[in-house]
Amino acid sequence: MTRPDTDLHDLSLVALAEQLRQRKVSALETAQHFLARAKAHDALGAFVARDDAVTLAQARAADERLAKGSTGALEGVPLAHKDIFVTRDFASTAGSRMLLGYRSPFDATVVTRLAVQGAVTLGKLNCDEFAMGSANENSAVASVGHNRPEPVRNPWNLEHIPGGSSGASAVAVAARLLPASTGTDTGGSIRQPASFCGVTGIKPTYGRASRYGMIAFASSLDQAGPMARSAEDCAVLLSHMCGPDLDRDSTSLDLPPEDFTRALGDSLKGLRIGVPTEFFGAGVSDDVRAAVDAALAQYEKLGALRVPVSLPRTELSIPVYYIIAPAEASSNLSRFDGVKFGHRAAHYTDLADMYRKTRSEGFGDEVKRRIMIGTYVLSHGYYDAYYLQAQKIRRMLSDDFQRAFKDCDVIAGPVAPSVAWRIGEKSEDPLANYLADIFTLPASLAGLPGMSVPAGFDAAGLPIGLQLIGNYLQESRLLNMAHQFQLATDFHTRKPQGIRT
Amino acid sequence: MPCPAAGALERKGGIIPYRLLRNRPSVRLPACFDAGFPLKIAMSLTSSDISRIANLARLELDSEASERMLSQLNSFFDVVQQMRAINTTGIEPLEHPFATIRDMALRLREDTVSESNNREANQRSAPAVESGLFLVPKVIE
Amino acid sequence: MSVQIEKAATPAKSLLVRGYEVVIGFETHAQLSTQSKIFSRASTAFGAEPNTQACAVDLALPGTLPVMNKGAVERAIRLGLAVNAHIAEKSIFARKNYFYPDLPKGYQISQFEIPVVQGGDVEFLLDGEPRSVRLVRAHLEEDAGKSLHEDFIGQSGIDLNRAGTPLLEIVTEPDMRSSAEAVAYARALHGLVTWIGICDGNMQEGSYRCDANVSVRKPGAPLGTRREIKNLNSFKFMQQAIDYEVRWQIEQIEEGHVIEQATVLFDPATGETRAMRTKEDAADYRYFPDPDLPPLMIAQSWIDEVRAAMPELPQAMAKRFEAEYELSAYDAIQLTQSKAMATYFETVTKTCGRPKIAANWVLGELSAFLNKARIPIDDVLVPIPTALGALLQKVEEGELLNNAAKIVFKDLVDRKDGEIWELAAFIERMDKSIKDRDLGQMNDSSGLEAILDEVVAANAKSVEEFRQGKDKAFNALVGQIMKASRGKANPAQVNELLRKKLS
Repeated sequence: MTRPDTDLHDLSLVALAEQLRQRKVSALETAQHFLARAKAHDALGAFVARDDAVTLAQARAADERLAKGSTGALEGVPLAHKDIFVTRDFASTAGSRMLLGYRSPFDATVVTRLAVQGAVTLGKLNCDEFAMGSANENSAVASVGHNRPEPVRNPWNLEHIPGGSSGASAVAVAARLLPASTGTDTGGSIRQPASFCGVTGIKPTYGRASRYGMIAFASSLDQAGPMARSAEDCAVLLSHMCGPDLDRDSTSLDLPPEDFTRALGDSLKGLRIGVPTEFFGAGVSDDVRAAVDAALAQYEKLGALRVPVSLPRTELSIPVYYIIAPAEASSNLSRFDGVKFGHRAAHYTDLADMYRKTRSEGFGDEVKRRIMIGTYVLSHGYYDAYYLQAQKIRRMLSDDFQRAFKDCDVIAGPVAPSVAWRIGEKSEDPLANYLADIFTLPASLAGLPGMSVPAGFDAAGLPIGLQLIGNYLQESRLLNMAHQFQLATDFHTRKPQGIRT
Repeated sequence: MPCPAAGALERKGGIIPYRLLRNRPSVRLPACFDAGFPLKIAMSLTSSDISRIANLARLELDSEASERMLSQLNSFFDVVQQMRAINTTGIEPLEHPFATIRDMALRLREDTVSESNNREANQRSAPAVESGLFLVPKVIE
Repeated sequence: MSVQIEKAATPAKSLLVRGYEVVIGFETHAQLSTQSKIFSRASTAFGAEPNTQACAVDLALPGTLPVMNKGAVERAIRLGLAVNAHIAEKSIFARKNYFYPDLPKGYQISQFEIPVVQGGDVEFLLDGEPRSVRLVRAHLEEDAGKSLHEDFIGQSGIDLNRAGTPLLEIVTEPDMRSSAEAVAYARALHGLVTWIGICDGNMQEGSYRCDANVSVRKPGAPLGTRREIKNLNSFKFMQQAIDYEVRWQIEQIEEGHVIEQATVLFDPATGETRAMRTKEDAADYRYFPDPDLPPLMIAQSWIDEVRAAMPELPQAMAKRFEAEYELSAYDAIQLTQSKAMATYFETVTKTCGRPKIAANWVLGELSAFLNKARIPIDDVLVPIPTALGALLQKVEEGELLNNAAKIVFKDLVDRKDGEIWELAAFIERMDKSIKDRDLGQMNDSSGLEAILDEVVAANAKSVEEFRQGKDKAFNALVGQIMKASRGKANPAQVNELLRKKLS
């Protein structure tokens, strides 16, 4: 086979899929290339599990199908899954000691859907423990090539966090260890690391992608989504990840699968972009503000119109989210009791002691904190004042969006108030981490689709993402907006310094 | 609303001067803080709360961890207090995010059996199994 | 949250125990007779090897989610209709959070604030008097697994086959005032849920379990603190347990102790109730609506469909029996204690045309046989109703005396083969029995006349006494004639002929 002009790892997912389909490169060669690349970058800490034998076997099978002219959309394309998705071929830990070595007897629906299209799994990607975190500093599982758990590193500056909880998913794509990866977003966990790592990511409407096989954090918020280096790549992946899973997930929307690439080429002329005043308060750093302003100006050049809107309860999204998500999580995590699977303490005196020791040993500090918060706000006497109140304000927040969408088609703003901070800078201050989620939480609470698009860099070269929030089921429009922006800019093509090219 | 700029930090029933919070370098405060919105603490947790909650959640915290948890949770609930004051009379809680635009109803599946015995695979990650049963320390009733 | 019903509880005949009024409420867990579990597609069949019917969802493996079984909802609707309850158009599933090894998720999916069935009542007879117990609610929830303690030292073995089996929890108001009433209610509800086919009622297998909330008070005083006797799965034990608990509570109060709320277990070996080890914070279940399950919506059209497909309910059927077959209320209720028996009775009646004799036989000879042999009415040994009907037809037509029929019946059920017999086989056996034992009634008048003449001739004294007005003498003559005919004469015919002869 002839070597392609561009390095395999610099190809977009779409281009790589095409090369594979045209048999210009084999799936086996592709897999070997990316496995070697992953190994060479183990210092970043992205992968938490790999198995060359498994991956190469999948690649060989893909090659056989390609030889027979298979029509899988992702035949032979290497991907990796955030370790929140359970897989039969690799252990699934959710970044937790509680699940070290856990082997699921079934695959997550999202994993199956991509495998059916011929994707080859390179391994599992590290994440904050049970998806709780904004910096990927909370994983309790050592990455491949590491002896103990260490923060995952941002390839743009190795001393900085990549964001979280899908930090490693973003890193793997930014460092070109993969053309794309899967992540999950509960309060911003796809959008924020995408922003911090200069890649493109999208969280679809709640219910679009099946949650079956996603280790549950907050049931009414969790959603799966792709991360890649372009909107087009995200659109392709998202199309295959989404779809009804009526037999297994009662919250899955009964809508036919969609081709989210169909509107990529649409013109943005006349598109009304709502800019919420609350997203540009005093807390936003100057660099972020400048990049977002510039991006909006770029959209105006493309024919869009800026419209001021208001989301007056934006800051309430912090207490509301940090009541609801921990409440649901505290219940979802009760199954980790050392009885049926996962960690069990080695020493205990009786059943009650077994439970306490198992859970105290198995869960990290952030997880414990959220379980405590969640248990408290659901407990007798506090439910009305906290949990019920939060769910009511959640509806008000959601209604605020609907009001705003009367005046605009899409809402835009920063993903986060700042760029990626230094490793360790906020690790002792959980509250600081929570407060930084302020711009991603509202769309999560309302269940709206949200994207992060690379929109610039700060003075030190750290990436800044632009957030696009659409109304329900408007993923195609968001991807269209992002795609047009990427045709006119090149932020998404830049390479981080911390990787080997 | 006057901004309480001075005064010692009082916990129970008192007001945290927001300037104290503003001085913490790693914290970026939401806009409401800048507007001079005081945080009146209606209540704060005590160590017996921590102990009760930890027990409900089957978590074991030593005294140091307990204290740390207490202080972290209290800081957290300080931020949460503003939410409690919002008037939500007549507002229905949001059951399902999509319910804002469409009524969600529980899907019902036909009553058929399609799961067969998969015990071996299902118990592969079990900590203690004997004769197909999960073993646990004796349950005393 | 109980739904307030306008009608008050039927004023109970207070059966005071040592001057105290007994107040009882029941919570019954009926396992629904679906094929698959309430939230997963594993089988609900009883008796499988441990954990072979516990799929990923039942085991709460990471990433699993619940999907609702339509059959469970349909059965809840049936129960709601059978007890005249309100069936909620919208009801919510909630998580009840607590830790226990047989509860894989660490929470049970149940219904809390808004259950699927609200209100309703169960009617039954207690010592011949009609009673009615109000229901607060009935809600859907999942069953937990089982802990096995016997085979392991210091450990318990957990079998999650049962985890996820659909349950309907049926909760009453504290309307009952005696253990007898409570058991009568439990029996009536048991009969109802089996009648409408939502539960197999097999108490040994745990399909029908009752928790009794018991308290005592001086008449007129506010409700006393109640204790809950859990998992009563036999009617006999129910009565014993409640009686013991009542006596225990009264003694405690009389000795000056305060009754503390507790959950207790009944020990059949000792006949005593004993408080379970108190679980701290057991009451804080932190209920909240399950985010994995949108609200359950039940349209009126579905309720109407279910109503149209419901069988005739036992109460309505009993009233029909009274009217149509002119049976006593007592007999009608006895016959409708199970659908199988009621159907059997009606078939016998249709065959022989005489409901009274059919009722007598079904409730008498047949029931006695079933009880002795400990078999159900649909067992292969039991003569099919058309066969019994044919036998009773012979009695009705004078071919066979009632007592002779009983002998034939014994022959019909005296079989060692375990085979299913068709009608022809029963008829054959019946005819053989009559022939071999010479049981046929003597209907031939001339033969009878001859015997009459003989007896009258041999008993002149009795004849004389009768002529003088002593009726006893007449009966003596009848007795002699019956004896002489070896029981084959038709008594009515003998009476008639003798009177004619002696007049």
